[in-house]
Amino acid sequence: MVFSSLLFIFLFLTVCYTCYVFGQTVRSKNIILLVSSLIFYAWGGPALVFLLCLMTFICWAGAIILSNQKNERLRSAVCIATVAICLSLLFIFKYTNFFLSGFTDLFGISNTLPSITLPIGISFYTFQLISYVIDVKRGEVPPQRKFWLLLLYASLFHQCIAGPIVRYADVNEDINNRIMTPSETARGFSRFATGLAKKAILANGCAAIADKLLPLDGEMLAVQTSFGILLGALCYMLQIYLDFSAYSDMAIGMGLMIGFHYKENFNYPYVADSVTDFWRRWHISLSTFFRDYVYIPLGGNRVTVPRHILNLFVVWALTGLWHGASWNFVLWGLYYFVFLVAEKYLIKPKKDPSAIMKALRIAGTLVVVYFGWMLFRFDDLSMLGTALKGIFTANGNLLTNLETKALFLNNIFFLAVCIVACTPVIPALTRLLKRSLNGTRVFAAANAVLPACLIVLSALALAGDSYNPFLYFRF
Amino acid sequence: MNNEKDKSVNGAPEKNTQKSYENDPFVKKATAVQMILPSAVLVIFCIIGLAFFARPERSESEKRELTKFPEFTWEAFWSGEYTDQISLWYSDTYPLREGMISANDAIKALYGVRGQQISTGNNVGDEIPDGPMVPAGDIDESTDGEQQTDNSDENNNESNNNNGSETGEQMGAFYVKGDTAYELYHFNQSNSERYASLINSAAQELDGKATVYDVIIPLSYTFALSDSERESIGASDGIKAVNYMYSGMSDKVRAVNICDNLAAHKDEYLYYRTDHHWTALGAYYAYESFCSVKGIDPTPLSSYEKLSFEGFLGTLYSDTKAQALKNHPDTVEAFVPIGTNSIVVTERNGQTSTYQIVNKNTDSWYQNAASKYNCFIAGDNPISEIHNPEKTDGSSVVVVKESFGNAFVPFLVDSYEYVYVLDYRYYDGSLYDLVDEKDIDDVIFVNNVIATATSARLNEMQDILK
Repeated sequence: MVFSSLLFIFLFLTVCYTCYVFGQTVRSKNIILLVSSLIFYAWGGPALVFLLCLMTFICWAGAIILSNQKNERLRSAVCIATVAICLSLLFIFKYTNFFLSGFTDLFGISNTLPSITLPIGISFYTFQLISYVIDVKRGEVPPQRKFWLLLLYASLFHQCIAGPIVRYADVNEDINNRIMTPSETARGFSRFATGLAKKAILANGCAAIADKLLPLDGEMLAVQTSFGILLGALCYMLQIYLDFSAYSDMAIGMGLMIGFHYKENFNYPYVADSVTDFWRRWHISLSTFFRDYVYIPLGGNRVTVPRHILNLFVVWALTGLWHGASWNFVLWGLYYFVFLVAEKYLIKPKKDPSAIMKALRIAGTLVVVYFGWMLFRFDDLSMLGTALKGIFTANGNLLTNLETKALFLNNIFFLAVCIVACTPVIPALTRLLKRSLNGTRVFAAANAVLPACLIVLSALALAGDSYNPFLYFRF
Repeated sequence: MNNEKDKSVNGAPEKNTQKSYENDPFVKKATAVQMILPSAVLVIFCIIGLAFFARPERSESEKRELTKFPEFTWEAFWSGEYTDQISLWYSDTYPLREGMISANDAIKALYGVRGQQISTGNNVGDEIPDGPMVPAGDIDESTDGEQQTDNSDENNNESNNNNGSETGEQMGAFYVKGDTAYELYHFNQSNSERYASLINSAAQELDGKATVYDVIIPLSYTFALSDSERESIGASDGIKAVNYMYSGMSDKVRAVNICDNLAAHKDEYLYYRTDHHWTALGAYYAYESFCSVKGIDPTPLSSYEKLSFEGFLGTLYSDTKAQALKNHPDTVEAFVPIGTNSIVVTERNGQTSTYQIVNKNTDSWYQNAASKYNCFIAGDNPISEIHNPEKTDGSSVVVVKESFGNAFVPFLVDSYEYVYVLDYRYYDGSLYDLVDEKDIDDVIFVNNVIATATSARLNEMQDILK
C-alpha cells in the first residue's frame, strides 16, 4: 500500500488510528499497530511478510544470544553471523540478477536469470534490523526480549517501506512506553498533511512533467529540445526531493500523532553550500547508518590519507548500490565520492561569510547535484549520453520549441511553488511569526486550518491521478 | 509531561518564552482545532468511502467502465495482485471521484499560464515529398520504417479505455490555443504509400463491379492555422499530404479532393473545437465535393431539418482538460436525412438493432457532454444498413470508414436506395464479398489523415480487402 492513495488515507490510516485511540494500554495499542502494520505490509504481496518475519526473528534471536554472552569474541561472532545472514537475504532478493547479468556480460555465459520479485522496503528494514543487532552488541541499547515488539519495530507501517531508517535506540522508549499529547498530535497532523500534499500535489506534478520531458526511450529523448532536457532534469530534481522527503514527513507526522519520535531525515538539502553539506542534509538516516556502521569501523578519517580515501570509496560505492541494483546507481555513488574527496583534499571550500560567496557555493553544489540526478535517472548509460549531448543540441535537436515553451508556461507558478517548498523559506517565516504573541496566534490559526485543507487538496489530486508510483520502492 | 521536562532541559531560554505563548488560550484552542479538523476530514471521507451503494460503475467523462472489485483467487492473493486491484477499485470507484477530478482540473488551471497547451506525443512527421508518389510495385505487407506514430497508436489501442477514446484512433498529439484544441497529424511516408496502394488494390479488384472513391480528410488546424504556426507546433501540411497520397493512386480510383471546398468555407464551423472530429457542416462540404466528382447534384443544405445539441465536450477536452474549452463547449449540429432516418445496425456484440440515423431521442445520451458526436449513425459499429424508400433505382453504396465517416453518411442517404456503412476497425468480413453479395455500385473510403499514417488502421483496412 502506498501512503499517497485514497485507500491508505481514508480507510487504512483512519480505521487504524480510530481503533488505536480506543486502545486502553500501551500493550493493546502495540497489538493494534502490529496487526495493522502486517496488513499494510501484506498488501504488497502477502508471501513477503514471511521474509520480514524471518529476518526479524533472526535478528531477535541473534541479539538475545549475543547479549547473553560474556566472551567478547563470541559476541562479535554472533553479531557478524546475524548481520551476514541479513545481508545475504538482502543480496539474494535485491542483487542476484544484477550480479548474474554482470557475470553474463563479463564471461559471455548465457544463463537464464531467475525471476525474483524485490520485496517492498527490504533495503529499509534490513538496515534497521542490522543497526539494532550492532547497537545491542555495542551495548548502546538493551535487547528487546519480546519478538513481537521487535517485529513491530521492523514492520511499523510509518517507516517500514520508505524510511527513514529508524534506529531501535531512538524508538525503544516509545515502543515500551509512550503517550499521546494534544500538541504533539496536532503537530503530527500538520506534518503528515504537509508530506501528503508534497507527494500528491507537488512531487506527482513534477513527475508528470519530468516524464514528458525526459522520456525513458532513446529515440524520443534524442529529439527532445535542449531547454526541454534542462527543464525536465530540474523537474526530476524537484520530484526526487519532494517525493522522498514527503515520505519522511508523513512517517514523522504519523509517528508524532501517536507518540513516536523519529529523527529528521532531510534538512533542506538544496540549500547546502558544499557537497559534504548536501550529504549532511540528504537522507540523513542513511548517511549516518553508513557513517556509524561502515565508515567509522573502517577507521573513518583517523587513518592515512590513502586509507581514508579507500574508506570513502567503500562507503560511497555501497551508498550508490543501496539505491538500486544497477550500475548507474553505483556510478552515482562514486560520482559523489569524487566530489567529496575533492572537497576534502583539493578544493577545501573556504567558508567565506559573505552572502554572495555563500550563494555561489550553493549554486555550485546544486549544479553537482543536478547532474547527479541525471545519472540517477537513466539506468541505461547511453541514454545519459543522449541527454547530455541533447543539452548542447548535439543530437540535431532544437534549442527549444513551442511545446517546451508552452509546457514551461503552463506550469510556471506550480514550479515556483515547488522550488519554494525545497527551501527553508516557510520555516524562516514561521520563526519570524513566532517572535510575538500576535504572530504566534496567526501561526496557530493558520496551522489549525491548513492540515485539513491540505488533506482535501491532496485527495483531489489523488482521485484522478492514476500515476502514483513511489521512486524509492525500488530500493 | 515527560516530554515537556525534556524540552526545558534541552531548550535555551527563548524556548521558555515560546512556552508561554503555547499557554495562550487562543493558541490552545487553535491547537485543538488543528487536531480535530483533519480528524474530522479523515472520518468524513472514510464514511463516504464506505458507502458502497454510492460507488459508480462507469465514468461518463472518461467514457469507460471503472475498475471492478477483483475476484478472489489464491494465486492473485499471494502475488499481491488481488490487494493491488482492491486499492485500484477503491480509488477508481470512490463515490466523489468525478467531482474531485473536475475540482482538481480547476485547480490545475492555476498552475501557470495556460493560454497555449501543446503535446506532440514526441511524434515527428516525415518530410512530404514535393513530386508525385513513385508508383510502388506489389503491395508490401511489411511495415518497415515505422515511425513513433505507430507505437503510440498501438499503445493507444491497448489503453483505449484510459484514453477516453473509444474509436482507437491516435490521440495524444494536440495543441490548445485559446478556446480551441487541434489534434495534430504527422505525415508518415511509408504508411501514406501503403494507404495509396491499399486503395489502388481495392479499385483494381473491384474494377468493373463498383466504382471506388477515396476521401481523405485533413484536420482542423489545416484551415485554421498559418503555415508558420503549423510548423512551430511540428504538424505536417495536411493538404500537401493529401495531394501526395492522391498522386499515388491509379486512375481507377476516383479521388475526392475535399481540401479546396473546405478551404473556401474555412471561416465556417467545419470542425469542433473540443473534439478531434469534423462537424456535419464540414462533412456536407465533403459531400458536395463527392457529388461533383460523381456528377450528381447535392441536396441543398437548406432542405434538411437541422438539429442542435449544445454543450458538447469532446475527446480533446478529455485529453487536455483545458478550462478554456470547458468554458466554451461545442454545439453538435445535425441534418436529418429526408428519405429515411432509420438505420439497421449490427453492433460489436453481434446484436442487430434499429436506430435513428440522426438520433433525435436525446433522453438517453444528451446529459453526457462527452458523447454527443454519437448522435450520428449510432456511433461506430461493424456494419449498418440504410434503406431509402424514396428511391427505387437499386443504387447502392458502401462507405468504408472510421469515425469521421459518421457525420458524412447521413448526406448520402438521399442519393442512394441502399447505403451500407462498414467500419473497417470492427468489421470481420470481406469488402469484396459484400460488394458481390449486395451488388454494390459505389465504394467510398472515408479516412482522416491520421488513419492514413497509422499502421494499425492500415492493417485493419488490409484485413477487409480480401
